[in-house]
Amino acid sequence: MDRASLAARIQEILKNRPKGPADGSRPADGLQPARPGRASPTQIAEHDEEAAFAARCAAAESSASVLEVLGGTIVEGARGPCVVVERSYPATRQHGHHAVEHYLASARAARVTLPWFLGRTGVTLPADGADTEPRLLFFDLETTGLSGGAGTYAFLVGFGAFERDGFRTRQFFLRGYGEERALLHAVEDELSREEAAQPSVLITYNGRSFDVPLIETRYQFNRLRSPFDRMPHVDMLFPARRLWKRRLGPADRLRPEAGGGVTRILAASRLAPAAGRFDDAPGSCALTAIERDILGLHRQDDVPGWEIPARYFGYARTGDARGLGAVFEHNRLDLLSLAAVSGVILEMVREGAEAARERHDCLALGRLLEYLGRLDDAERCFAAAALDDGMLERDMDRVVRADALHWLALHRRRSRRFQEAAEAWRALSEIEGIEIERRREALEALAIHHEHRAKDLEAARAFALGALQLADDARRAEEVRHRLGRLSRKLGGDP
Amino acid sequence: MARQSRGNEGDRSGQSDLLALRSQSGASREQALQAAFHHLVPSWHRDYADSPDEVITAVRRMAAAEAQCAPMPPGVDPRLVQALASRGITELYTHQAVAAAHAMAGESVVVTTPTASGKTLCYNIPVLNAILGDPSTRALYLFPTKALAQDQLAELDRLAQSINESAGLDLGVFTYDGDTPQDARRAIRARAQVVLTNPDMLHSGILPHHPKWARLFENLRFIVIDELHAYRGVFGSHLANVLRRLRRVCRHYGSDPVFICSSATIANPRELAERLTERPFDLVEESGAPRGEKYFFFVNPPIVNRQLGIRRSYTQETRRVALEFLRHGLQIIVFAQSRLVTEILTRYLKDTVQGPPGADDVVRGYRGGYLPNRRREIEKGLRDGEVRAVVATSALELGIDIGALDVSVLAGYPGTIAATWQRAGRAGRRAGQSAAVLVASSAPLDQYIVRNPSYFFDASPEHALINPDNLQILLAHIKCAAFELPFGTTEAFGRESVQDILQILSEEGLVHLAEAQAPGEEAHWHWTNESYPADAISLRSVSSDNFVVVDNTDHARVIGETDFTSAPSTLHEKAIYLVEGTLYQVERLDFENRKAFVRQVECDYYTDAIRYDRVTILDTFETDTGQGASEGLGANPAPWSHGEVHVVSRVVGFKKIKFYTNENVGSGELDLPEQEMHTTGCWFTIPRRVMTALPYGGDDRRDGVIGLAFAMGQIAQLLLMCDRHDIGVSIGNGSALDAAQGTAVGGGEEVTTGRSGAVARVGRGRGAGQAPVDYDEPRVFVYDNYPGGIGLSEPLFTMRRALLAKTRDLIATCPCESGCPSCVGPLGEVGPLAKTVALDIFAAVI
Repeated sequence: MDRASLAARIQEILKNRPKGPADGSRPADGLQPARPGRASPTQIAEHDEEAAFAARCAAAESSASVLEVLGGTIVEGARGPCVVVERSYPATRQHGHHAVEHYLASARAARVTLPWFLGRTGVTLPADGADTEPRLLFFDLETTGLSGGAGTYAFLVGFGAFERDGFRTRQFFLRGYGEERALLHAVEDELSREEAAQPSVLITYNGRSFDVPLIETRYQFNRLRSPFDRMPHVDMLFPARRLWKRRLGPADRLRPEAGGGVTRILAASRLAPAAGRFDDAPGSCALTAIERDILGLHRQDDVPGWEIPARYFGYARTGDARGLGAVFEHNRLDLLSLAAVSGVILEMVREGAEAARERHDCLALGRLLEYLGRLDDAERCFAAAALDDGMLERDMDRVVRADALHWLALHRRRSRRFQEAAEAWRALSEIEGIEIERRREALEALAIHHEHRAKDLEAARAFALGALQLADDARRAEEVRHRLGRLSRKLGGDP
Repeated sequence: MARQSRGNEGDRSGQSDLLALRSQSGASREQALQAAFHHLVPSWHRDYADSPDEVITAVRRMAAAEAQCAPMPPGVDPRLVQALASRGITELYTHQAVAAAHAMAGESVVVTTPTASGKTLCYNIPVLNAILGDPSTRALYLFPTKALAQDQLAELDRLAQSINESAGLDLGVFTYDGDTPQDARRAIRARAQVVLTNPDMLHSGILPHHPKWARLFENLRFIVIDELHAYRGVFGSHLANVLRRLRRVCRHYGSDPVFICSSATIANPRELAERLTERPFDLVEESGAPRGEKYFFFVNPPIVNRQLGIRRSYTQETRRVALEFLRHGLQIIVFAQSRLVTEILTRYLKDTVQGPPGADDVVRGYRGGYLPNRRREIEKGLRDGEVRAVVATSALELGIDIGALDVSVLAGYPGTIAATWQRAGRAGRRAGQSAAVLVASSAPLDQYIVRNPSYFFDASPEHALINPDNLQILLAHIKCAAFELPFGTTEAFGRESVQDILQILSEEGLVHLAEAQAPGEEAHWHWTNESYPADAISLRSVSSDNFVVVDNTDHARVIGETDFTSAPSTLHEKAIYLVEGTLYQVERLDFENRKAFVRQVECDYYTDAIRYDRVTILDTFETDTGQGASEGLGANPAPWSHGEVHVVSRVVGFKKIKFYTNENVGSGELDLPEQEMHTTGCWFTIPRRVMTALPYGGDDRRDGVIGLAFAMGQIAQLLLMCDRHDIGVSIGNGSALDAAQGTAVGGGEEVTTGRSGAVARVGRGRGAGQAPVDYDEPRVFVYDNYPGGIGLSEPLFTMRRALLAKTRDLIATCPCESGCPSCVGPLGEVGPLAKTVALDIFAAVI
């Protein structure tokens, strides 16, 4: 087969349509077929004028060099050159509702609270004393795809850190596919900078399942030892989910007995997520959703995530880096938001119940503290969220209070304060307009308490009868009947 | 249970016997077998010789064989010797010892041995021995299916546990496939010394993530490929490319593993192993394992209408034979040629089991497309003896552990000698008797085999052919390979240089040539696409589409799946879709979304699709005009060529066929999208002067050509020793110019169909909008029935003389008067003179 017909046949196969002889000859030379997938240069042009302009410039052979466009410098490492782009953000720089200095101050809480997070992963800091403040190293990748695997490259490795008077980002760029080893060595050096003086902790958003495994794969691919496997690492996605998942979207359990009000209430409040983009699906804890709703940051002209690989491929083919400026900016904003969100979370965890202004924040914080093993702090949060302050006209407040009472009761029971637990269950059982299951559980717990602890069999029977009315499946109903039978026998035998 | 208490009453006549089904002890099993033979062959006695009659055309008794043993090869670790001894193995069969010695010497080896000959020790000994010598050693085992890997894991794990217990070690053997839980995967990657998997998982789950498997690839010393013969055609062509990728990755990590392969008996095991792996192999083919005595019967259903050449239905005959053995309390497996016949036979056998609801569960169907749970349940039932008869497609041909059955009944010739032995081998133990029965259908191939038993019993089995350089398959794997590791500018991939292809892929934006970064370094092609290419590629088909079947009877649930190519003929609207004898009718085929919605029905017919093909020549590789070659050719030789063709096929209608009688009870028209493909084919043109000189009318001449093409398709299968689905036959215009020469003219009309049983019919319908075939100069195509071709057409071209001669013989020696389904096709579908005209054409061209 000659080259022209081979090319024609390959194009047919890629388009997944065999072309019969009746279709006429293959397309005239020079007519490029549409590229597969949405990562096509034409589509970039539709979405982004800058890229279209860049493509035209490339055709005119006036492509701009990486360093010019990105404002980077070349670091000559032992294993070759690597482009580093460094940016400093002053303390006064606004990011959402607050300036960088606000987040910087919040992040100081890390000295106290970061060990709690690390304790969950079984890591302790090398110098775990009050005088050493851990260095928070914020970390975020831009990659050539989301699937992972040997053919997914990290072309931009972004680091950020708070400094005495602001925030600094350092971004390591894969200038060409052949320079990956140099990039990885430069990244390793960055990780170990000042390590002796100050222990570094890697902070990511979803890094545990994406960024860290992906870059470790790059080290393994190049048969290098990954420096990441010995780094302490905290992934902020998990605490962010615990804190804000409910706030950012209605959870399934928020279904009151009557009125179906929660969605309506959310829609009426500023918490209602804007419809449309995938990231904004209710309950999404994507960094972009968090930064908009928690930090109050609204990005302008941001590159959509799905477009990023195509921009890098465009650069790799043409050498024109102009499409990448926006990608670097996107990565820097991600690092800033990650740092800001981390500051917010670390501070909230340190302050405990006082940090939360709203009832549901307080409940969520309690759940996070519970996860971190701060049980007393957690209970204080639950108690605060369960407080009957007369501000319960909204359905959602009642639902949240019921949840808080549930967790409060469990905590008290676990620490064998049965009377206090019963008080929480009783308060829970008296709330109107909550899930049936919540109420049934409370009544059953009260029945148990009155039978075995308080020894008030009549009251136990009354609670059990209430639970029976609400039992919605046969097994539960059978359990309650069993209890009622026993109570009747006890009552009958003791007239 | 009701069925047992009734059985114990001892009534051993009639159908209620089926309810007495229980496992038999060894001695009574032999008595039962002999009793069943008496029913099959009235003059049966123990030393019955091969004295064929009209119905039983062959009886072969295969004597029991003694074990041939050899000591353990020198150098086997004492801890392994001890572990084997604790499992009762103190010496090896000769083939095990020879194979193990090769592998231990670092030589790749392929072992061909019959079922149940202990092939697993051939690879387990060298692998475990190497691990005992160096615990960092790793081995990868490939099985064609997940179920086989699970089976083998159990056996290997027992051996590993023996070693662990006696030697205080911690050998890790694990399966790694789609069912492996996510949280277990990391541990398996790090510490499994033997990983059992399948080619699909290697392709999509392991190779693309090779950095995570660095420990495995750095220390990979053995690759075991079990059931090597399963890797022929499309699957084999894919596997050869997956292995190219595997060896590339191994080179990257500095390992160079030895291959140990095991295969059923085929003609070219060494060649297949070498083509799949592109390395030299040693062959071990003398089995040292003992075998029990086995009887093999050929049954040709009696002729019921000599003039029409109609024999008793082979499905009915299979039912009779199967019931004979079942009635004697023997456990049987019935192999059918298609999913449809599997379902029909399951239904027939279930119908004979009377009893309370559920009693007919002693008869089960088994085929691809059943969901895994159902399959596991049936396999277990067979091992436990609860299931007394299973009707299966080739899905049970491979080594799934179903225990040792007593009798294997083959409904129709499986199409290849190798598959026939494989299926026959499903019955039989190391000691004691077993039987296999081949019931011939009226298909020409079946008739050829049962009328020429020595062709089967004395000829070598077939060649497994693959075509790893099929462009479509090759391209798919080049993409995967580029994702896994960048390609160097001097690197090859298989036999062809990939540089041209990479250049074209780069124009399509899929790869990019990155300059060398340092002097002396090579430039590399890097993957520049965000997709994960292995996801889009299925190893089981050329394209990865498939259809799911959704049962809407009560609530929507998926009950099966079907590959893209056969969907139009099996899932068209109003088609009857069968699952274990239950009938469903297709209510709607959602072609776009690849779904067929069905509803359970009660009816007494099934459906058979009518398909039209149109073949156009794209490129001619080689032509033999027949001129100048005198030997064996007639005065008017037909020119032959092979090359590349374009095939358009369309399902245009269907027939309703009544169960049991096979009457045609109705039909319907269909409007389905065309399917098209590029493939390779071989063709010959009957010269105009031959056709016009025939003293017959136009219709008769056409019938002669159709009949000739029908018979030729059958003989092509025989010569290529391929499955009947692997080739297509079509008739076109000899006067049409080749596309390669200029304007292409489409034209052709014929039909190659017949998923019911082994009968392929050549009908006379005509696709809409197609130019009629000019029967003054017809051209007969035989083509590879897969996009891109799987390497059948070129061998067929070289066998063209034998193809003509054997086709003539098939028609000439058929005992029918004027054409029958066993030679030129059923009378009524081809005209009364088809046989005569076909023979006249042969007289002119040979």
